[in-house]
Amino acid sequence: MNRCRWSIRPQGRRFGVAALAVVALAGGQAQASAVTCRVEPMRSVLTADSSETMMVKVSLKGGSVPAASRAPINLCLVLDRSGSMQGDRIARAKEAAIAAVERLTPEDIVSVVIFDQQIETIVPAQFVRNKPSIVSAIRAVQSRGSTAIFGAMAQAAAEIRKNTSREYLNRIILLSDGQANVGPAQPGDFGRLGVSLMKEGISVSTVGVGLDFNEDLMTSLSGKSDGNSYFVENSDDLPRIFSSELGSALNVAARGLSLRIEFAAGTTPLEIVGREGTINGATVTLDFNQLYGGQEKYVLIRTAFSPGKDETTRHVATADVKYVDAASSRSERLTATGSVRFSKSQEIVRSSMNTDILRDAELTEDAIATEKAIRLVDEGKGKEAAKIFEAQRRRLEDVAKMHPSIAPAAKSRADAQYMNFDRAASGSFDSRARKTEVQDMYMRANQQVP
Amino acid sequence: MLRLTRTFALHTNPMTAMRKRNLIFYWLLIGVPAVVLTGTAIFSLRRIQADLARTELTRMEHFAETVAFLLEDWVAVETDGLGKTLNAFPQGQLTESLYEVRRTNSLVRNVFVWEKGKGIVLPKKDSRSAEDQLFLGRYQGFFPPGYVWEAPEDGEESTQRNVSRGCKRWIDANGLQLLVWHRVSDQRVIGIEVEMMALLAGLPVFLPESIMQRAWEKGRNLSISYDHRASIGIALVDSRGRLAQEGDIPPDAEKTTFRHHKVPLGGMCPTWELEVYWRPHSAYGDGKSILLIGGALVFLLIASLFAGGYLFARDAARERRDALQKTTFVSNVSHELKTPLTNVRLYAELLADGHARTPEAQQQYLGVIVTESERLTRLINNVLDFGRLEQQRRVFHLETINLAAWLQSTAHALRGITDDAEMTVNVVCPPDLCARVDRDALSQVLLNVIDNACKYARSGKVIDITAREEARRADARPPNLTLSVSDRGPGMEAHHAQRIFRRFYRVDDSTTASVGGCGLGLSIAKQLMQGMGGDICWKPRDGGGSTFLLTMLKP
Repeated sequence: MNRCRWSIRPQGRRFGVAALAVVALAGGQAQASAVTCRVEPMRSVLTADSSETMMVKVSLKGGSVPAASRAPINLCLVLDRSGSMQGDRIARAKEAAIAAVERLTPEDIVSVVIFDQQIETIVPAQFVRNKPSIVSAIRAVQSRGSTAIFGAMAQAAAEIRKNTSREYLNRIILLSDGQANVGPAQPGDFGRLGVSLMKEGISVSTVGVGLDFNEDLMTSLSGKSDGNSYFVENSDDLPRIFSSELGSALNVAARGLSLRIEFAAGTTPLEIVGREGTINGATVTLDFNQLYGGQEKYVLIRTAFSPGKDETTRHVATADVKYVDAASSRSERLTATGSVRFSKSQEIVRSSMNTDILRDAELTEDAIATEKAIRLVDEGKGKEAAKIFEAQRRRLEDVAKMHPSIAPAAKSRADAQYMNFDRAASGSFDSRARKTEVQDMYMRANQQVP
Repeated sequence: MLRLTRTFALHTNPMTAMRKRNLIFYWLLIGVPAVVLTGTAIFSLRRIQADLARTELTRMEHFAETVAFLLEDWVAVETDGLGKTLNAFPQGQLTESLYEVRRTNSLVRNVFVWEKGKGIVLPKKDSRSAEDQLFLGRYQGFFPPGYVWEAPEDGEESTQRNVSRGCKRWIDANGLQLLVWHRVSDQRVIGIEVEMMALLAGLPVFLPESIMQRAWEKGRNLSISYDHRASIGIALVDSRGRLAQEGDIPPDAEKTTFRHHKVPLGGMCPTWELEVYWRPHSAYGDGKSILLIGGALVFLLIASLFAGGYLFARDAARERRDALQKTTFVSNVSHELKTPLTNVRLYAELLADGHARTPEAQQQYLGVIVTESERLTRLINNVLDFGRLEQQRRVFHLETINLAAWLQSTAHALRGITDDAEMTVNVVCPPDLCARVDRDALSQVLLNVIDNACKYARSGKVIDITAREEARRADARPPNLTLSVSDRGPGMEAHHAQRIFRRFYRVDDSTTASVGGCGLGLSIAKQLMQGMGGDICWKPRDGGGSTFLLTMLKP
């Protein structure tokens, strides 16, 4: 049944519907056509006269994208044609790539890079005006050789860069079923590459086919570059994936988002949980390559609050968002603020809990812990990993007990951790389970795919 | 006689006397140099091939060095650009500027601030960012509070003593790391850790179109075409393996026919090496083909030598035979001429000395002189005719004659010869039979045939000449006349039937001494008959002896 694990469960979309809707914390909900921004502490009420550390969630949500006005895309398809792709896989991959090309309009730019140990640009970056020639170039691809993913990515980036001066959405779709065995091959290396591509406004979406690809490598590349990541066990699903990926790429509400959060006096940002960003004193900066229509992306910042007096309200932070409206290609800017109240009443404090944020925080923390534990399993430290999985399971179960509204999500993760515990205790993850977990972690940490 | 000798001299080849030994000698004379030449050619080809390979290697070395230099240069330019960026930061906003450059510049992995007496102060030690902690883990030890920031001795900025910026190179488990630093004040240094992955990702793109082409053009002095995809692969490697590559390099290139050459990059990238792979560029492959071509050449040479030698030897044998016949002919003719001359002279001297006292005796002596002179004339005429026929100068005047009348007069004219031989000639001919012939030629043919019979068939005593008209033939051509001349002599073997008409041919050379002749008569007869559109052939006569059948045209 788990033939395809690319879909994600909806999460973090139920805003302020819980008990604390009364409390007007979610202060600035600045409205703009393409992006909405919110700054929300996990609890809107803090205990008076005591210092506390608590998560603050800053979220960005994309508005709906009118179908007629979507931004043109600068797309590079990177196809693995190594020997392992032979047969059905390469056929499906070609079919998928052709389907993707068919969906593009003459305004769009497309390039196709294929690779084994050798990298070849079979379609140099060009406007999609001669579809038959592009399609026949893709059709001619044959499988052979080994896997030079790094070089292929470099080549793809070069093709994209030819047109980065245009106000286009830049996207690379990498399809591979193998391990990188020519050039740099560490997931870390690909993460670094992802970070640098992100800075150039290029996102990489990765499609891993079968059970032999390196999911760490693929997810770190797509994660760090703000792209999507897919795990396809059966190549029959490829055309659907490409279509979905292209659909998402075409559904971008805003590009080049730059988020700058200024924390007010009395609040200090300590750590950005699960994302890359910069904390410079009271300023936190983060970037996103794009935001899809209807998608919510958030950042959780562990924040220290200095003691406040009873019945006072404190300004927490001001979020300043700069972005490019994908439809109009105009630079836009919006701000949002958030605040907390202090109270001596423990009941009020407890009941001010925003369980959605709690759930997001718990799931993000769980993803980080899981990633760490999986790494331990990889290193052969199954027992240590098992301890972490066990601790996570207990924690999630506690959360589920205390907060019934988020119990389903927490319990589902707790069950997963229970199985992970078994796997870790036996010393190894099987390939499918590992891929599923890594994929899931990635989705949670990045709130990817609309 | 003089003319004859000259004709024969022209036909005589000096090679005629060549023996088999000589043939072998000549074969060796040509064959040995041929084999030596072929060997030398193979040797030279191999030398050229080796030279080509050496030149190719030199060229590839040159190519690799140029690419390495350009790569080094590129890295230097990139890092220098980062250094300049640092230099341009406004004093009051160093941290903001550093974070901004990290946020936006894809070549920047981390930024840092170092202060004298404190060491690295940014990123902060208590930062919770994993990347910051990794950075501190990597570099805190390298840059202690008392660190002296100087450009490396061989660095590109070392021209000034008190430099304000530079580039540090570290090699850790992840390979080469580059740090660009800039001295803001005596107390403070800011810097950038270069994103090596971004640098590398720029390389393969950089390699083919510009660097390789440029490097190739810089050293263009050989006519090997630039086609990096087909024949040249280039790879950048460090201790961990290949960092980047371009062109066609099979995974096991070292084991296959590929050759490779390594050049260290040095400068900014001390652990990086550039490897160039190429397929040996040779028109003859691996030397086996040279042997094959050489062998084929030698075989062809020897085969043609043998074929040529065989043809040459055959021609030589034929010429030798002809020459021998001609020599015999000359001696025969000389002998033939000598006999009548001697007789003429003898009888003339007898007459002069007055030995012939009676008029009868004088008449007899004069008769002998006349007969011998006629014989001499006949002989010379034959020889002259032969020469004329050989040179195809003889012109035939065909006319219609009455064969019976002509035979009567000719037989009478030949009485001298036949009477000498004591032979009787019987002529049988229908009275109105006519033929279209050259009268003189036919007379000569008949004379030669009868002379022949008188020489060899004297014992038969009788010569029968029979003329008759042949039956109408199937192909509707006009019926021919045949004239058969039969003797009753000893005849001859049937296998001589064709050869007797060859020039200089004698059935039995042993009879040469006793019977005069030079082997021309029948040969001339054959040529004359054919010249008139007829023919002559021999067949045995029933009851012993020979029959010559002369075929001629009817008018």
